[in-house]
Amino acid sequence: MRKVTFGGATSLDNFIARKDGSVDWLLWSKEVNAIMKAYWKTVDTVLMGRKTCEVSARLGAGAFAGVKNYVFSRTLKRSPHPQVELISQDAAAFVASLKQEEGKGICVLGGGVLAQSLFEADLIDEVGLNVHPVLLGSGVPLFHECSGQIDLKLIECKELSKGCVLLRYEVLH
Amino acid sequence: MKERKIIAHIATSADGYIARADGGIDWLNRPRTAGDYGMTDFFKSIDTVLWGRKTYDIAVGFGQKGGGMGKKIKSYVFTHNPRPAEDSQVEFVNEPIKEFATRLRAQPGKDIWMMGGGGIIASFLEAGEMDEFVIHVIPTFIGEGIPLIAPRYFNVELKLIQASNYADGVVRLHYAVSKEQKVLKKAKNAKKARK
Repeated sequence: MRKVTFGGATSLDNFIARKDGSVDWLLWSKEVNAIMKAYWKTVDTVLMGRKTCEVSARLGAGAFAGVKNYVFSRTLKRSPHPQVELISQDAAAFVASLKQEEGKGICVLGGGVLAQSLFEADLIDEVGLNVHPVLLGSGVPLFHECSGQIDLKLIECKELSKGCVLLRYEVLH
Repeated sequence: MKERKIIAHIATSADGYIARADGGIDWLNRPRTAGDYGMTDFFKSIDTVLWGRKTYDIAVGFGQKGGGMGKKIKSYVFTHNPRPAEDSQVEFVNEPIKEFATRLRAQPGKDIWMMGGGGIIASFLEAGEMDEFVIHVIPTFIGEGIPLIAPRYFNVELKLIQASNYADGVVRLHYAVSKEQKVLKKAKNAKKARK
């Protein structure tokens, strides 16, 4: 079965962007680029929520090259980007069947709202965080409130340059 | 004289909560295969504990007289409504944080344990009076609860001292609060957001 991964760069207090959406606090390094490059090789599908897709389209990114892009929304009539397929049906049901298909890994981008429904349906297998040495105090949360407790197994804890920490967890189903 | 540091030494869930919404910390009760996570050594390095009133009341509610810190430790409980303490080692305070911290740091002593919760940690951060964080990240998502730091508008730069993990998957993150904080260019951020 295909592995579904969720994560991204966060502040220590678990925000992925400031309230105004800005990510000026992100720290880049060759090390992080190499980790991301290796990760992208394991993935052929990217799942986004509506907000993430719209933000990404506004930034001129829109779709990720070389992978199948999906956006989940019950309100959108058409996809914000020609390379992104709009899925209007229940995200959990769609992802459950997607996991059964042949293919590489599936990446869930945050925002959190999509991830929340996938966590609640127990469809996420791995979580990867690049914890930045900053407290933003407020902003766009990585995790939205979920019902129920999810136990994890630590796969990796590694200091990166510039004070970032890579944490990778396996979700214990 | 050695400078006294104010250190938040605390456990959080992997999604960043210090307790369930009702204060529950049942998820912290795990097999202690990795020892005490350095707690004995840390406890020897402090002589003062700072509490938010709600966190203190929860500890007392668990039957911990005076917060359960013993005779050698002085506890200060921050509250808008100070009350007489039931224990000689406990004092309720309602003093501006900057003045309190300056006075406390001027007294000789060991380091100071910031117990939390999120409200008092945020207030000490805003006053520029937090020195270090030692966070033990428990490998579980509890889904909802009380965050480590109450949501406020601030930006605090940290310096990673060390990240390590125990065999049971608990991660220990040790940060110092940077002495030089960048001044946030709000105008620049707002401009970016409009784009």
